[in-house]
Amino acid sequence: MIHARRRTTSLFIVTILINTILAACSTPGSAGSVSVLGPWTDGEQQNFAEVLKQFHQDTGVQVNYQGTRALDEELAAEVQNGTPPDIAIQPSLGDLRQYLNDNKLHSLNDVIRKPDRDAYIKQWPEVQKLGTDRLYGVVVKANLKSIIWYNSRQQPEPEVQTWDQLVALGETIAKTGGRPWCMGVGSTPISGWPGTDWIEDILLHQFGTDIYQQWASGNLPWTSQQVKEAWQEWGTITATAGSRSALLTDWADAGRPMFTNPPGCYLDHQPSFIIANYQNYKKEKLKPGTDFDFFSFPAGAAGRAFNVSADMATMFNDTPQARQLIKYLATARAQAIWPHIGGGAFSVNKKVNQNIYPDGVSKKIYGDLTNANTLCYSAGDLMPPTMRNAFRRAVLEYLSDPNQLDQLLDELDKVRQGIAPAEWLTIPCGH
Amino acid sequence: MASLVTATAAAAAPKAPKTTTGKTLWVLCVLLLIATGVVGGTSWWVFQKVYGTVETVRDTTAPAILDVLAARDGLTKADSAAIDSFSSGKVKLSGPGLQYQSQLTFASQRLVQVAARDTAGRSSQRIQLLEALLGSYSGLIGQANAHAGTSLGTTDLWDASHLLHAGDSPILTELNNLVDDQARVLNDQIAASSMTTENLLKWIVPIVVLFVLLVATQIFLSRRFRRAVNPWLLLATVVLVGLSIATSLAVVAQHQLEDSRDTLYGVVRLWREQPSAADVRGQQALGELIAKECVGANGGCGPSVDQFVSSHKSAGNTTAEVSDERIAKRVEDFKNRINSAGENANWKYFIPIQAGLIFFVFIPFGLWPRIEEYRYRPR
Repeated sequence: MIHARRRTTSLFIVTILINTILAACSTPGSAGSVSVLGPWTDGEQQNFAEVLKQFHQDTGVQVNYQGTRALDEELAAEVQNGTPPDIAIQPSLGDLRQYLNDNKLHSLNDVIRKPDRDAYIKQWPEVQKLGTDRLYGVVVKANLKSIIWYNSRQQPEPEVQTWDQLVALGETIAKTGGRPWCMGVGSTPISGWPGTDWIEDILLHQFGTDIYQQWASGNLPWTSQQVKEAWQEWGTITATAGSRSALLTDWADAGRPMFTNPPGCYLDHQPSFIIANYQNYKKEKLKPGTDFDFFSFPAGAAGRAFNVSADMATMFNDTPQARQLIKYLATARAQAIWPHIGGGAFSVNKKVNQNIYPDGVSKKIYGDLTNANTLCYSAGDLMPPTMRNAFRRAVLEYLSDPNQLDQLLDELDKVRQGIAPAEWLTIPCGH
Repeated sequence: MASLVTATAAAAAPKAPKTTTGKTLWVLCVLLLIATGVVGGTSWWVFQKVYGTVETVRDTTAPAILDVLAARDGLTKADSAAIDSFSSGKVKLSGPGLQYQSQLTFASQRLVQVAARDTAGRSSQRIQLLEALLGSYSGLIGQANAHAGTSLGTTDLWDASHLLHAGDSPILTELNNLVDDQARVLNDQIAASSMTTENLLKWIVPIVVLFVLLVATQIFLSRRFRRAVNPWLLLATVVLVGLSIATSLAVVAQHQLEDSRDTLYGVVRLWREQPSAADVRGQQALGELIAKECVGANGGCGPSVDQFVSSHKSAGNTTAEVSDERIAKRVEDFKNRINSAGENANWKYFIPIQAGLIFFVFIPFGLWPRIEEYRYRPR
């Protein structure tokens, strides 16, 4: 009888001890931390903090996020120093490919569950594999390019089906004394990307996906007729937009005159993330659909095609906390948080319900990201960093003096030829 | 045989006092020696902790912060010099200019100094990033030089200066982070040596205990031996007071150290809140250069540039000139304060000497004759 009571008491104490240890282990704060380096600052950082807040509540893991406008430089410095962040969020696949070649990235094949891996639509799984057969990234936020914004209070949606109609629309506005195109290529520390987006769109829509893919993967010379024509076509746009103005105007400012009365410009070629900037142009926030809307870049040889880009989370340090965060970011639950807040964030996870998008414009963008005929990853973000930077620089040089186009293309091609084949990425357009 | 060993051992060992007075004298002697040891130890610890911190702050942490400020100042001067070359037209023959080169080199050297001191642990990483960003900056100045006199040249100059000055400039952010890292280290260092209640008790209680023991021993001896005062123990008490005064210099030094820190933070605040004279002139010249470009540009240059131009149009130099002087004065003030905080550091040698005198001379000489007297005497 006494033995039995002692046994019961011992069992009771052991149970309490085990429970205490388990409780201590599950206490928030004791679950460790994970460092994240990303491109988002200010408002975008606050929105991403909401995504991370849920993760912290679920797991207790502390996330130390650092947002910077000099992401490429900062990541390179940290990697070179041997102290990379656990997770880096990068839009440039060209940079990521280099880190992969240097064995700095960890595969996520055994981190993300198959149902979550299979939830990504179109060619996104290819993007996330960085052109290999293993998974290396999770798209946290996708952007639709190949769209043109207008002030929907000032004008109805322009009926533009072809490139010629788009050029004609600009010329009509110019004839009435208006400046048709809002344009600014300034972007510290490396300006020029809004111009590279234009060249990509013209090349894709006028010459089709095959030519575009050849060019984006380094197999089409810059001196080719197609590439040259794309630049020249852009020249017809910049002639009415004001090249000098575009050089000194910051990309985030370019669309502001569209909302003045009378408008300082009428059309703005910008990716979907510009929504957040538009909304904040005025104290009483501008409303998507009511104050601004978009139409697609006119289809051509590629049919209804869109350039896209994404901010992708990749793992530089294989820690349990980094794995937990990557696993979480890939879930539909995490993917739905930021789009629900709004501000131009879009998920390409097909389990995310379309109804979470707060307005009609966002729903339309989500539709284009998921239902469009063709999605091609932005060539500027696919190219190796050396090529990408030269491309951006060439945009500035061209705006300064369009007459030097042949020389510029020649120099760009010399850069292309100097890059090792292993540095180029081949990610086909998705259908 | 066993009894012989026991007898020898008993003869060799010091003979225990056989009387109560003798025992009391022994106990007092041992207690006084222990208390003296503790007082010497804790006083040395307090003194060393404070003056060690003063030394570290004066020679490492504060210079690291001042180096970052100097690097920032060098960068803005380099930027202003480059802008001056462009706006005055000297750029065609002189490029961005010698002043630009030398200030950029000066800034890099200061950053290398910060890395060498690296009190914060992360400095080298931040400096590596800053070097990369400065590479981008000087690359843009190089491009501006190559396109001098064209819109693209002005754009490059604007981009370069923007990279250095904009509110979200990664260079400024990293420089601020560097200062913040060092400031955190400085705060931790000063907090570790500050006179918290715990540290104060660790220092004061042993002194009070020793003092009480010395007084108690004097009273005991005067009653037992009918002598007014034991001169050796009186000397020990006087030296103990001296030792306490010497150690209390550390408390004063700690206050001076905290004052120095506040002065240094004043310099940092001034640096962050007010641009230097060269900076104001440079940004004004840049505004004029850009304004010329934007006037001729169809569509202007966007609200950010317009705002920059208008905000630098009417800026006068008077306030900033004063600001330059104020920074120099504050730095001087800080140096004076930190130097005066450390000027009594050599008093540390008095602590072991004074404690040693009490331990090895005054207490033994004061008590041993009485202990000797009572060693064999039955009460």
